[in-house]
Amino acid sequence: MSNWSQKKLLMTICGGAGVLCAAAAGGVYYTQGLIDEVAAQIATQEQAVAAADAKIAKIPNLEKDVIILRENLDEYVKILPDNKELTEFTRTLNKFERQTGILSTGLTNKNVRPGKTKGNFTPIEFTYDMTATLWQALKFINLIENYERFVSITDFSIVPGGQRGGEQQRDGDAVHTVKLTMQTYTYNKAGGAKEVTIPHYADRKEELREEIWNRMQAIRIDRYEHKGVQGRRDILVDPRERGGDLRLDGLSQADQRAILDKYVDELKQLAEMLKHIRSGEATMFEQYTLDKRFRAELATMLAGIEGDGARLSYGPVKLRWANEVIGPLDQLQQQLDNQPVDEQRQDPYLPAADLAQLVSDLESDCNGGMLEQARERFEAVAERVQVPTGDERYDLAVQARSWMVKATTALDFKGLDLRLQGVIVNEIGRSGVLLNGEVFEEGDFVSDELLVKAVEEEQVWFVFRGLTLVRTM
Amino acid sequence: MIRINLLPADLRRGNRLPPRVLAAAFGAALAVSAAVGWFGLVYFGDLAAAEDQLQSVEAKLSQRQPKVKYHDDLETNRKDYSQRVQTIQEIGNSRRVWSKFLDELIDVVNNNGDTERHLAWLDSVTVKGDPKKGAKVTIPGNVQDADKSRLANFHEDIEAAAFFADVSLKTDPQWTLEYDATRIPPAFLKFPLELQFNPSAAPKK
Repeated sequence: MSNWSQKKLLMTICGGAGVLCAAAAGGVYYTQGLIDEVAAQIATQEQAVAAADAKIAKIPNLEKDVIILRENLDEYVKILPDNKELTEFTRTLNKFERQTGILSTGLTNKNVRPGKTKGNFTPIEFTYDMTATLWQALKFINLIENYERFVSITDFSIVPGGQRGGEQQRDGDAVHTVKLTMQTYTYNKAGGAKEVTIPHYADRKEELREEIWNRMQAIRIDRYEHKGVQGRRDILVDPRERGGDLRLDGLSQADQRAILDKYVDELKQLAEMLKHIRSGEATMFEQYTLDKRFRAELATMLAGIEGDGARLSYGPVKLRWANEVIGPLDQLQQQLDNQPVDEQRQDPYLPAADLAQLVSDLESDCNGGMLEQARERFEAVAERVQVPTGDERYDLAVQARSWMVKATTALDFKGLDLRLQGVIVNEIGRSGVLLNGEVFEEGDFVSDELLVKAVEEEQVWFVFRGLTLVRTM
Repeated sequence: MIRINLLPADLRRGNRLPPRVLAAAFGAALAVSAAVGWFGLVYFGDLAAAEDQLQSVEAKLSQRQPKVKYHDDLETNRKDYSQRVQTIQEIGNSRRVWSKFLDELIDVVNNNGDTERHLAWLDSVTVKGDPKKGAKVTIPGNVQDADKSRLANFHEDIEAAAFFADVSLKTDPQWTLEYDATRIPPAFLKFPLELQFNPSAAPKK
């Protein structure tokens, strides 16, 4: 090396340094590549962390959803029967049969194609054959549709007439042949995803109770309450009147319509009367008189309605009877029983003006000899004339009662068996009267309550319960 | 005169490293040091820092993994439950309440006892369910008398019934005049009648 020329030496040094620098630069370049790779991994991992954070942030809501869904699902599946309940369903059908009066003739399990199975839900189909009246069949269908477990009636047929040689009538209605196909599903809880254990599940469930209930309302199996016969006729029976030899005993359609129309008219009148009573246009006495009349007419109608109703056999008339007589009559009775609160009397006694009017009317009735009318007038408001002593209407009430006593006494007197058979008028002494075969002089008591006060040629004056009354010959 | 150079060989002027060589060697050493230093900084500095950061992020991620798995399990549960709930809802909604339909049909036929508008009766009632097309109801029947307007009235009343809102197709009025001598009046119009209901919300497969 010592022999190397300066130039060679310089070149070696520079060359060696260059190689080393190049190696270092290569190393830096390679390292930078590694750094980029690591940076890319970091970016990826950071994205994963961000995604994980996003998922973690969703956990509370997800837990909430899962709890609600899990609880709802547990409730929802209760509408579907399990295998044990399918056996029990046979007993249920038997119970429905007893309740409705249908007569079943067969229950067959239909084969369901495997393709119809929906995940955890397996359909099961039954065909039920029976004989029933239309109303029995309808009630039976309704009971099945309102059964606590979900049962769907997919097909059915109702054909008039029972089975050959079977009964034609049941409870007065025609028997039909009915075939129902019912479908339900069984639920297999296993087979789904494994249930995740949610910490503090019971507490969370309690917190979410309201929301669980609200979401539960999303599934609502339609139910319907069958409204019953309501006087309707069987739509599978020819309702026309039978003619000739087949004519049935009983009233003709025209006669039945006449009975119906009579009751409809009477009901209209009663309804009008009640409306007038409640309108406030009638005076107090009119109200009481009308009320009394209304109740009497209603009672008469109620007494006759059962017998007349039983005489109706023509379907359309029976339906109108139910709709236009029985229904409105019930309503009238309800209206009568349920007087509006504002109509209920706060003051139990008649107002002074009405009392004065009552006194005036009673006086007029008594003086006019209309004693019966006076008594009825008073009796209509008797409870409201019992005004206590301290009340300013007391005097009027006393007057009214006094007129009532007079009217009643006069009526009772009128009803006494007093046969005036002759009189002996003595100008200077006591006159006498031949009464019911006995002679009584003025001042004599005929009975404890009846005194002969004065005897005149054409009439005899009596004192009856303190009231002077005259009986003419 | 003879001059004798007594200096050691390497200190003799003729054998000494020339300054240019020294300068070059120095410069080369400097450049190599700088290059190696730069490499060292990048390798042991930046790369190590990046790897540390990566480890840190990986640690963060692995720390979150149990919760992520919990989330995923919950999500699986949610989807599973939702699907089952939906199926049950669809099963529930797929049902038609036939007792309600029959009650309404009986009302139409009875027509509140008004026999002037029509007096009808049916020969049979048949319902055939079809989840895809909807249920088909076949109710062949009769109306009293030969007055065709009564048949039209009956069809009008069917169309006015509540259940008809869900009917997609109804047969048009058609009739044949028939007689039954045992009845008063003997004449009646026999008619076919089919109602095609809209499909209910059937369960999805």
